[in-house]
Amino acid sequence: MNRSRGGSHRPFYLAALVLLLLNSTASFSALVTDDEHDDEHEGRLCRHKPDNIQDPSRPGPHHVATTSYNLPNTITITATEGGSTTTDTNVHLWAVVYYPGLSSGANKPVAPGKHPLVVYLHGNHGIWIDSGGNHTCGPPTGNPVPNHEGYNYILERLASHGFIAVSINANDLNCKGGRIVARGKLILQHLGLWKDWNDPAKPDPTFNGRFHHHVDMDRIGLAGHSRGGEGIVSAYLENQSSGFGFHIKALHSISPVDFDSFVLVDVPYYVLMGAADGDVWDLEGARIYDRAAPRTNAHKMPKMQSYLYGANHNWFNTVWSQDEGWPSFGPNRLTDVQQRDVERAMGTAFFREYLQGLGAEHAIFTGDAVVPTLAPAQFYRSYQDPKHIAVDDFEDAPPNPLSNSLGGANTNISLSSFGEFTFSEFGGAFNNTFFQDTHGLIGGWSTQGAEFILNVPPANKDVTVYRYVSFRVTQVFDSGALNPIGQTEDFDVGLEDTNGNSTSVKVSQFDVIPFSYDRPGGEASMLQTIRLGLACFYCAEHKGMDIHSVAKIHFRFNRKPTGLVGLDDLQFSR
Amino acid sequence: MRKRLPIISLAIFGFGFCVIASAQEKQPPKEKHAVVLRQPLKEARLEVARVRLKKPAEVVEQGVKREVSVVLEFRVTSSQAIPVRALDPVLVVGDVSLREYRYEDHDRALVFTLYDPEKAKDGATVYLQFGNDAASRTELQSFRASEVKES
Repeated sequence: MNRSRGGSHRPFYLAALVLLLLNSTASFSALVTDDEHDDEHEGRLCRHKPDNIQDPSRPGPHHVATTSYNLPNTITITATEGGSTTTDTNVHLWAVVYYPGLSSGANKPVAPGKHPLVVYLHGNHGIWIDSGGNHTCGPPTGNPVPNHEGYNYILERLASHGFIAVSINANDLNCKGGRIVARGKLILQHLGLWKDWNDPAKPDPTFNGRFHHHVDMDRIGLAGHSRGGEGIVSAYLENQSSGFGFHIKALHSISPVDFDSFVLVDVPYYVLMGAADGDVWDLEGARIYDRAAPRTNAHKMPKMQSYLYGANHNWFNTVWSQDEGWPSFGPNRLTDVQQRDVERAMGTAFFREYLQGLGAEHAIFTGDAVVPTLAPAQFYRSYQDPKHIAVDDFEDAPPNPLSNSLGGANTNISLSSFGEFTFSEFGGAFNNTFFQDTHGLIGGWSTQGAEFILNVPPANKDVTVYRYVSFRVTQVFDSGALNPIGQTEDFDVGLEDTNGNSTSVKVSQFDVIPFSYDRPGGEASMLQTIRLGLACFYCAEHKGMDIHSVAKIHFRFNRKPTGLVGLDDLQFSR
Repeated sequence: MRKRLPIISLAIFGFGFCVIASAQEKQPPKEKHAVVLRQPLKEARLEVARVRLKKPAEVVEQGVKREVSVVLEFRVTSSQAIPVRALDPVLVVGDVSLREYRYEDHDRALVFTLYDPEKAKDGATVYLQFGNDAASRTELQSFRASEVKES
């Protein structure tokens, strides 16, 4: 930690001094009497290293019962998407169900109580198994690909934790163009079935009342993979716009496509993407994440993203067993089992938090905790808390890197590359390695000591209601010109108060800014969130700065001789 | 009794074998091999046919409904199965992008429909690509009006 001193002491110093006196550990005493830089030591004090927590997907307390349905009557789905209207007839209402049972096994009675409903939806894939075992679009063989059964590994676990977990078959919408909106409509049809199956007043020839009063229709979560990952977003938005009234409380996409550029504003959203995706190679889920909770409506939802090194597209579904992942490269390719372990853990944690109110595992989305049993999986996260203030989202139109979102001035000191750019594959980008849907700041340096300073206006100087200074950052892949191949990035972030007191921390003490995942021909500069606890800036030694009166945020690029980074979403955050 | 033991054992073995075999049959067949999606199709060819529909098709674009009775069908064939991907195949004919398609012939053919035949300009370049995945771009022969087959 580096610090400079100046100005008067603040009242909270006194409180901290009392705390200091009560704490007699040698390490803490050494800290407060030592004016030397001691990065490693102070880093441990101001922010705990990520806690180790148990796998959220360890089996829950419930017996797991199973059932399925494939109704005799099919439906017709008409949907308009991209200006064209499609009509699909003979669409089956077919699904597999895992639920908390009085005992384990097929078609057992439901465990007492109401259980939240989670619905999974697969993506585009062959629909018929031919004589060679291949999955094709036709001709029909009478042996359909059970695409929906590929998520049983997580349905089973969700059921053990008290969810009614359903996975829908959408074969009738596969092997055709688009069908994202149609997929959303199919989900809503199934939700309608569950609403009826929960209602004793409705006839129920399918289950004969087994689920009466057991489905918590006030707590619904949707999850989807690939086209299903965007289909759930469509379902959520159509539920709102068409007044269906289903209480959908959480959305989880796995390696989704982004055909329709939907914008989410008011529902917790979690996207998991594989860095070695050889199908949705341009990581389109990042775009859905970026657009969610837009600056005009940024405080209604949390959003979170995991970028999983070594994971392909298919293996989140056990039926899609082909390895389409970028072959022969990717230094950390995961096995199919390892890949699904991550989805099972993260998906379970997400729905437990947002449907059951059990937030104990929230920290694995923010980086404050890790699940050791998921090793060797490495994933880099983005997270935005709804309670935040945006210091700079770099979305100025026209681009203006010298002004921030709070209206303060920004200063560039010696950054050779400096400017706001579109972080997108569709033009205006700094280079062709961005696959996102946001604007950000590019900063490059070829001599140590370059700095980017953001001035915080007086009206926003008191940040005591927040816990973190948070920002998204990525190494920009530049073929090794400024970012050496294979090396992590590092720099300092500092806060300065209105009296000139400042404290800075080294980012690498808290998190890793990795080199781009090895994707020859598709190098990706993927933003991730770094959250630095505000305690890091004011606790140590009582000589730090005053977070009641923040005047400036410093990015000091003094740890590596050269570098090129993208920055976005600089916030004070809960 | 001893004479019957082998028979009983055989029966038990046979029953067990049947149970195991039955359970295995219920498992969906697996596609085990690795596959590279981000590459051009192998030995791809294009055939175009003018098709008079037995029953006029109702087409709705930008909210406008119309009936179409004659279409152009662009049939792309390959020596290998054409992958079924998350990203949609798009056939680009000059400045027209065709997104309505169907798979045929055990996925060795993709048939795209152009509801406005006049939009296909003679000599237009033609290629197939999955979404914006340029690595999958497959160059096809140019569109020749004189080579359109009547169907």
